Amino acid sequence: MLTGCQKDANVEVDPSEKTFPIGLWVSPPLDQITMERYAEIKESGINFISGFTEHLGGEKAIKQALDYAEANGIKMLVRDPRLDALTEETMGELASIVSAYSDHPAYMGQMVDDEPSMNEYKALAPLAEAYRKQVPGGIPFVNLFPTYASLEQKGGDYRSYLDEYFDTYKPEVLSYDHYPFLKKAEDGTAGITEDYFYNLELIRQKSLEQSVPFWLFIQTLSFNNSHRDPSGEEILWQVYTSLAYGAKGIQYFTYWTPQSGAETFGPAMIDLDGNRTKHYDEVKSVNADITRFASRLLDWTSLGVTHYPSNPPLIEATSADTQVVSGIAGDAVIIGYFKDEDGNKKAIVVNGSYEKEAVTKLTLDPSIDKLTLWDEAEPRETAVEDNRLTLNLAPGAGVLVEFWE
Amino acid sequence: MKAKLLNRFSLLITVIFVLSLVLSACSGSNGANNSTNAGNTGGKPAEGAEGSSEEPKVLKVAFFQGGYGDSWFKELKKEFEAAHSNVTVELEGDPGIMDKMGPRFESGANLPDIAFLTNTNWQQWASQGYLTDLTDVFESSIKSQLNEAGQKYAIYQDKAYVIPWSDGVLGMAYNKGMFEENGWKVPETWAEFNELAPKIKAKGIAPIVYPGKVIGYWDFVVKPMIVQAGGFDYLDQLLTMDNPDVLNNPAKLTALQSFENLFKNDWILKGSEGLNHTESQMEFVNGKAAMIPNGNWLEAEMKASTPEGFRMAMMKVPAIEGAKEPNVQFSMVGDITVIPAKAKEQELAKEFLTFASSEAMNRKFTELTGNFRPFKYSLEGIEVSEFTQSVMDIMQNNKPFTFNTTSPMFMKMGLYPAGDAYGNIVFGSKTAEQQFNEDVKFAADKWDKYKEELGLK
Repeated sequence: MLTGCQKDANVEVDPSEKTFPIGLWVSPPLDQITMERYAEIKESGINFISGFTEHLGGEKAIKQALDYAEANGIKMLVRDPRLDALTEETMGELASIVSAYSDHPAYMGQMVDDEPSMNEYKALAPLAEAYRKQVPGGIPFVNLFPTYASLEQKGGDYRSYLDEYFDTYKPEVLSYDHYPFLKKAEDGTAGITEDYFYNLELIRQKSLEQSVPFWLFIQTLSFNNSHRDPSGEEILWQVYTSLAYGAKGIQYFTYWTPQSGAETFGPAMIDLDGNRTKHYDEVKSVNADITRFASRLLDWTSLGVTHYPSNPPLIEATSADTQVVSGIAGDAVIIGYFKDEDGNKKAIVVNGSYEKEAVTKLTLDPSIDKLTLWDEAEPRETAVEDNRLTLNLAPGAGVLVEFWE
Repeated sequence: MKAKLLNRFSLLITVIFVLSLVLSACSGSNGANNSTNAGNTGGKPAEGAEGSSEEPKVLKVAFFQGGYGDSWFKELKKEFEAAHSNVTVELEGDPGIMDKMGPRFESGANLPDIAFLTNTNWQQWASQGYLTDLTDVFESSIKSQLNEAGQKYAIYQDKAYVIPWSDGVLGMAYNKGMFEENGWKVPETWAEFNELAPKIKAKGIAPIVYPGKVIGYWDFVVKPMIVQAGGFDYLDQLLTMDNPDVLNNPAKLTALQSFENLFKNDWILKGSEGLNHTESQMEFVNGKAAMIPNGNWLEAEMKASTPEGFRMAMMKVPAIEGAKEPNVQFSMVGDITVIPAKAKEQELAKEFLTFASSEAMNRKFTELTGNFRPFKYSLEGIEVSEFTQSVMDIMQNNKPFTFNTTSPMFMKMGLYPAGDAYGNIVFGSKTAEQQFNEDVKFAADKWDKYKEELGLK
């Protein structure tokens, strides 16, 4: 079962059945809704799809997509624009629309909106309310803007944007997008958005405050004249930094390459001709890496994030409520701290660079005498020596460390 | 910026997005990290060094690096430092500066002392306390120099929070060389246009080309027609939008019908609907069409692609019959200069702002960029292109208007709430009258709901 959205605390999920949500944006086009294409999605390590153009083929195509998804162990958020047209007066039609497919085993929820302004929340809320009554347990999915969206787009400042979202829409999942990999500078510098970590931190805090998991989008392609084609290391880095901040689900933007129009796009994981690009294998590798442990993260609570050697822009102080790491030396790292349900401390340590290897030494609290390191195919337990842990991280890579007293 | 595959676009967002691309297109600096950072090593004398006894200061100046480039800012830096021996001006020019400023304001970190930014809903920043109240410097040294559109734009809730940065014209550009070769008079009314268009077509040339993929460019023609027909009183009513009936005004219908006639009469270059803004501009400079809805950035943006000898100019949007205000110009005032409330060097930033608003620096802006500041200043002795001169002529001889507004209802409802007016009319899914009537009905039907959603009493 895809989790990360257990708003109802009374719903118990067998831990062995938990799956860390790994999704995609821009599903195969109508003429590519085939068993082979959905098997290909599965092979990449993706386990849920956000519907995109299936509705153009009517209910038949939506159901076909759901069938292929089910056959491949994938879930689906269905996009059905008929819901967009519903008004307060016609909201009763929602039941007949969604009941056509909401009982399908692969059905996960409904795409409601992407990047709404906060002025739109009040209009969306009745739809979500009606939906929840009709499909208990389904997700009326909305995805939010990043911090760098304009005032016009958001309708206000970002904190208000989030506050109003929770007050009005009351989501099951806090999802947002933020694409950090900007076009390279004239000197070749491959930088990121100034507010990447600032956005992550605001979302992390809101997620904790509201006890609602957060998901986000991972950039896999270049677009417009502003964002570069990310390397495999950069994709890996964005995934790991997201996990370090406590993300409980990710989606790849995009899977299939979108047609360029007013916006222009480079190749995603599958190009316009339907061929796998290098990004397909890169994402497949990333997914294989994180699915070793990611389902565990679903039950952990984020304690905070430390950036070494210095804080990222716009964040004046970072803190982590943990005693486990008392010192850091060496190359730059980002450490996300967690605790499990028993209070045991965990950390995801991420290379601060997606271009260089990192060798970093952590000084551990003397109370820590054992670690579980997830730096190989299988987790390994190791005793702590001299209160030190030295980590070697490839560019963009991260490692999960579990601390035991 | 858009940064996500969307199923919905508003015209406003489209036009803002395209304008930001346009303004960045000709600078050659399209990467978000292609920034100008000039001034960290200004060689300024340290405290106590010869020629300076004042504490060394750094003034951080951020600006949108786009169609105006960075030359003016480098000049400002040079001249300001020359006049302030203890000051180093650090420039941060960035095509992506608008993406950065919101988070900087909200976090209070990494703020420049003064910023030159593109049009945005800055009134929200002001109401959040992010912007310094500039009323003192506005009243004492800047207001009297600003043009009418600039003076009006600076004020929010009776205070000045911004000083407009640039000005210009949105309207119609035309092939001046072609017009002169053929002895065509630039039409001042649509009646004159109706007489001219067949003559153009007889030459195998389309009267107009437009960017179908950025159909919001038609705002540059239709909005002037609305103001022509309805006058400034109607414009005020629209921008205030305090009741749904404001959309039920014949001025708006007249404008839409005039727009519709361009297509009914087949005066549009075939295939325009599939063109983006640069493609349509290429058709224009290659002589396939005589006129194109556009703005004062056109010449600079197309500099590299314009054939040798091609001559272009801006023309005033022809006046509709019976216009209340036949001589209006759609001002581009909207880009802003602000001082963040948490900026370190408040007083120095105000000095810089006043300096940048001086006659000398305003002239320098036009000289270096071919564009305009929203001030009243002399251009005598400045060599400008024929195109720039035409823009200046329009600005100086017509009443400026903008569609800048703080009305949340206008921002939500828009001019065409029933849908994409231009697209509907162009592709024949609605007539102008149908669009007009549906807009009126939509506004009436949704009024109370929108008021509630916006928290309006």
